[in-house]
Amino acid sequence: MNKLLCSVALSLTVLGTSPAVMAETPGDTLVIAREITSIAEWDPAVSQILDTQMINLDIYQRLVGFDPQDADELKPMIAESWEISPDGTTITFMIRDGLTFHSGNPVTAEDVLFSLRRLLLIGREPSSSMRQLGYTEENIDELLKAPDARTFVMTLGETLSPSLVISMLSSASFSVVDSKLLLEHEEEGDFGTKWLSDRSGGQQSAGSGPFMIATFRPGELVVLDRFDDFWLFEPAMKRVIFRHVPEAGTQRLMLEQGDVDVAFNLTATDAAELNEDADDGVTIEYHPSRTVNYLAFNTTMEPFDNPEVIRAMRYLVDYEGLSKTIMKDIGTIHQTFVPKGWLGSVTETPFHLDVEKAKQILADAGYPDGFEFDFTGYNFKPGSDIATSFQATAALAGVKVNVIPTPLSQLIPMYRDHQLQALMLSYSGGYADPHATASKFTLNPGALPGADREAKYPSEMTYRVGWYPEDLSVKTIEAARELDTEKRVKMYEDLQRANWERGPFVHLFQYTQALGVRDNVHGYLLGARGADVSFAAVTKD
Amino acid sequence: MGRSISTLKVFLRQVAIILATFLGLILVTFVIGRVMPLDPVTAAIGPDVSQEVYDKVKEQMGLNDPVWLQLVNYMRSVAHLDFGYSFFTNQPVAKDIARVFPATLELAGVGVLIGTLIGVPFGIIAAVKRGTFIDGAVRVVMLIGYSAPVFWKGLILLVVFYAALGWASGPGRLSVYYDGMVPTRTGLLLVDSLLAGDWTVFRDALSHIILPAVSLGYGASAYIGRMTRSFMLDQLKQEYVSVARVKGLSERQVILRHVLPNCAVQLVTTVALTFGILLEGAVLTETIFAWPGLGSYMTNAMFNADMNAVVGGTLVIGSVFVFLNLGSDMLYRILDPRTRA
Repeated sequence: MNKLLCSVALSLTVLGTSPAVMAETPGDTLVIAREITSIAEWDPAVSQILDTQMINLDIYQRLVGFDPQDADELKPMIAESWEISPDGTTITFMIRDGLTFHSGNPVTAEDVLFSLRRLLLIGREPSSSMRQLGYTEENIDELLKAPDARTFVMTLGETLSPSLVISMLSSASFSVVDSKLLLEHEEEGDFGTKWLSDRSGGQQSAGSGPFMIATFRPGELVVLDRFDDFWLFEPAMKRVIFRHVPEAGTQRLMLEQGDVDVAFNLTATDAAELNEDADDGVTIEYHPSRTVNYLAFNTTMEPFDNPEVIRAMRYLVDYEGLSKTIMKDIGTIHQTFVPKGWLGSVTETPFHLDVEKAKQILADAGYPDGFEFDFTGYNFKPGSDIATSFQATAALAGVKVNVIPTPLSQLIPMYRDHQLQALMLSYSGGYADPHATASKFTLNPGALPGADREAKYPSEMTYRVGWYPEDLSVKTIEAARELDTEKRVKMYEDLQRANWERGPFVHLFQYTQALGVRDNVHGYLLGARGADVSFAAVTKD
Repeated sequence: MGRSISTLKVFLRQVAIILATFLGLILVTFVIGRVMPLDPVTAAIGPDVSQEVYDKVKEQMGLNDPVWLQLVNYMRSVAHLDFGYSFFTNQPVAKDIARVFPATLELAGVGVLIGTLIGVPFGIIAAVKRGTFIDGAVRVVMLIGYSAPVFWKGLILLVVFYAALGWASGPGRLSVYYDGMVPTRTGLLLVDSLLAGDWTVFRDALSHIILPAVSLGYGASAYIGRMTRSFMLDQLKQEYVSVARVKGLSERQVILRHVLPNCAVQLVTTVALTFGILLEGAVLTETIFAWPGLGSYMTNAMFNADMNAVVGGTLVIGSVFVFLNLGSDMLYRILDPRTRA
């Protein structure tokens, strides 16, 4: 027994003298607590995961991008300048001289060409952007050229608005990779993707951005080291560390203790409490994300083959009630597919809970006594709570909603196969241009004149709910091609309103990111478009 | 001769039992992997790919093969310790498990040590002082440890000893600044830092492990304590105890020299099985304390519908249980001469 007491006493002594307890983070290191399990694949041509893309924005550079110190507009990055031909079909980029990759290899037009080719030819999710630009395996070698080390000529596969093209080129998928390094590690024509994704040994990154990956242990830790030869400026942080902290309450404790500088996944309640307490050394920043959640109704199944029934559904969601309770501090009412802050976003909110109006529309549509339907919902909060609320408000109009909570991995395949009668999900556009979402919600490639109606387009929401609006599909393509920005804005506004009138999608809320930041941390960038993230400009007092 | 044949028979029977258990484990994990209504292709490549890419990946993953062929391939892979690739870490599952398992082993090891150091003495005290206020108090404390939810205990420990008092370090295995400072030899940070002679890292690791280990150990001590009390009470009723007392031995000698050694056999089994339960049951503790072990790994795998990782983890935990059972069986034989006959 005495021995036991001795060992307990010894342990306490050791703990009491531990220098690690209550340690502050070093002045040149940014420590971020975050749920990072979705990060697996680092290759920008493979990963469509937002968490990975956010980090890749600092690992790689693109032809155009945001200056972390001044993120108001897109600026030339790897490209020093560009010229657009009068008909808008050819863009000639002048590549900046003197840039180097983390490996020390120079950044050339050949790397840009290699990056865009591999993006298309690897053929994973991000390659859809290349296809939207009109590139195919057959035409790419014809349309993309690097006549010399400093010139990259991009002839578009089809006429597209330059603002759309430039916006797309600024997204993480279009990251410029180190072609020499990747070719050295190429296996069976995989463009080095296997090597690039296997970071267990902490290899050199294949980018030229302000940071490079030093250590990656999946589901545990990501360490970024500063790239000292970054051309634009020298970041103040030598290291950025992401620690996987899955529990939101634990993140809050660590932030309050000063063990981390930024907490990424605070709950709305924790964020609100930290926000109210002025003396806790923590500031809460609210950033709009680019994710909007929506209800979708399958137009090939009764009763949703009648657009009026879907119109009635718009009046059976308690938007205001939800925004004061379940969605408080985590989202704002947003009723269209183009997120707020993006070009052409319609921000008015014409729909409110109006049971009488919904009843009237349903009666006129032939459903005076309501009906019953299966509603598949994501089994996570807040989605499950929104589904329950919708079930209650729909019941007031005699509509019985059978909520089926379903894991995402099960929901998506059924949605792709258009087997679901109705569902709720959210979507984040891959790049900050209205085409990123319009091409999913108002364009069905199968509805275009001359297209094969039987072909499968499971990556488009329109296809997934069996909606084939020929006029809107054509208009979406025309909007993408429009060179005049004002006209383009008007076209997207029309498309969003057309969905209100006869579309099968009911958009509800745009999510908000509540970020907990220590008071001594400045310049953490999570841009207004929810996509422009950078740690390069962070400083600490 | 007769004895060696009997030993051989026992050994062969053990081997047969182990093989049958493994076969069952493999079949169950295979069925779990196939009947779960999850789409492994979507889990691997995401929801927004074209039909062509989807079909290609499905073919590559062997999911178009007949089920019997998938089972044969699966058994062949498992025999080679190849559980396939994890989608969410993009690494072979076996490599992942080799990386995360030592963290769980270390946590469960310290946890069961704390559980035993607290549980056994308290169990003895409760048995000796049966029916008194001390017995009642010990049993109440044990009951709380046994029944209080793990996440609640974890959060209370963090709030009190990390946030309010600052006596212990917070979540994680190590302060991030010390990461990678000692070379990995065993994967057990306390051991590796001692082998490297780095006391700073050792203190930091100890300061990090103490709260999650106490959280686990308190629950374990409740179980071990209750079992110790019950084993002791059984023994205290035996005649040899009365004989020892009549011989004039002190109560201390009776308990420590005679009663406790007779409980040892059962205690060893209890502690071994508790260790197994801690290895498997540290999921919530690992989540709360951001402990990068097998529990966290399996949780992440499940949320990501990463069936290879789930099945691989299940096989490892199942195997550990089999070996712990086997180990405690063997110890039983060594400690209790009657079982050798």
